[in-house]
Amino acid sequence: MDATILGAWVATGLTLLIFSFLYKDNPLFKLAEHLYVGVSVGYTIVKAYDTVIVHLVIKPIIENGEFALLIPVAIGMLMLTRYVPKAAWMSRYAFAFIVGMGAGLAIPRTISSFILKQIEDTVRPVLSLAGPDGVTFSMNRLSIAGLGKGWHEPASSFS
Amino acid sequence: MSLAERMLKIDRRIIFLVIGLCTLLPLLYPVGLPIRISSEVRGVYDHMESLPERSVFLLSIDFDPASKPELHPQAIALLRHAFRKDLRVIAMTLWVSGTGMAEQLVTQVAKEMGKEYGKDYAFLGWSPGGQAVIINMGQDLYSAFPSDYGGKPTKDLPVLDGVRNLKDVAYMVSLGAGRPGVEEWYVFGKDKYKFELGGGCTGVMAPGLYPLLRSGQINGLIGGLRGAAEYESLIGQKGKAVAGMDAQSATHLAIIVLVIICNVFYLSLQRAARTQRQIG
Repeated sequence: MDATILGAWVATGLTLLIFSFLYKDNPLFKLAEHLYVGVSVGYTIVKAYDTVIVHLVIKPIIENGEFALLIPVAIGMLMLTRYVPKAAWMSRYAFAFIVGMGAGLAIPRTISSFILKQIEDTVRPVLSLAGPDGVTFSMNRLSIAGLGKGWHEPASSFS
Repeated sequence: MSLAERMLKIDRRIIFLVIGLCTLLPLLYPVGLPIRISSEVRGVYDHMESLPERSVFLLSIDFDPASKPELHPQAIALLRHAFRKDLRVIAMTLWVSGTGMAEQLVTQVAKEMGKEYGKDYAFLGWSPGGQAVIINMGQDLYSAFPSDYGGKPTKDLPVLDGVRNLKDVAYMVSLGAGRPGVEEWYVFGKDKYKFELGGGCTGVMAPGLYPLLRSGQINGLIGGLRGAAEYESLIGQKGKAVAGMDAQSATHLAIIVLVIICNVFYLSLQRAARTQRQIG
């Protein structure tokens, strides 16, 4: 029996064990459930360690001398200070950096994608007389193509 | 106890058994219900058809084994189409738990279509960061993925010749089962770096992506098993999705019938109680 067939039988057996919950809760279901969670978490930890720690941190530093990578590593390590009560305040710097960077990346892009583009599509039928090119909205420019008019706002561009 | 009362207190395991049979029997004895092609799925297919040979097609397999029944057939159909069109396929994933499955999927279809790794396709694997990876790829693909899944430097892969970032991708499809997925690829990818984007998602996610489709932010959407079955029909290679559609339709029908029966019995009990109150 080769590995593929063995794997298929194991998958089939575990699937049936999971479905056995539909009859009633039982130890075999618990076994399959714990195995599923354990394998998923184990796989994720190993994959994340190999990809992030080994391939994106250790190898570039050792093989290419990219010591600048130590800065994000240090910021990441600050998060672990939460487990040391006296040094827990240091983790705020890491969280502040992550929240600030996340908000800076997400807010302008979300406004552009889910508000401006949707408004553009909503008003397009109403302003269809404006010309063949219709209307274009962006964070720094609102223009009605075809009428030869445009209103320009000197706000910063998010695109 | 009347029939209505007995039916409303029916053992839930009987319902599970009915649903199980409705799934199993059509799989064993397919009916072959007709599959109508929707404009959303045709949007993806038509764009793939319009691409010239050796164009770069990026497929992001953003799901894990939990969503495999719906999204795996979509990925297989898309890959078969891309390889048949002789496109250069770059596959990747933003979901760490789906990495092994994605690699297996890409390798299996490439082998079936007789494609060579590195020359015709590549699997970049997973990189941490979600939306940050998309932005990074938009600036420099080799910075986001310095090496592929097997550890080979991506700069040495002939399939990536002339590809520096997302702007050099002719078409990109994200098959997403959540976040990061199609929305993130639009928000942090297409909206910023201007490339053509299509999407694929689970059935329950599809209604949430229709606003993007209607406004032209994505040019097509493959929704759930139904979408996969449509795509399989379009490429003329019927697979697991077409086979599963009979089972899905039978199950949906069983649920609709159960809901109707349940309401009929509930209303009849209400009416009987009202009549008894009037008599009393």
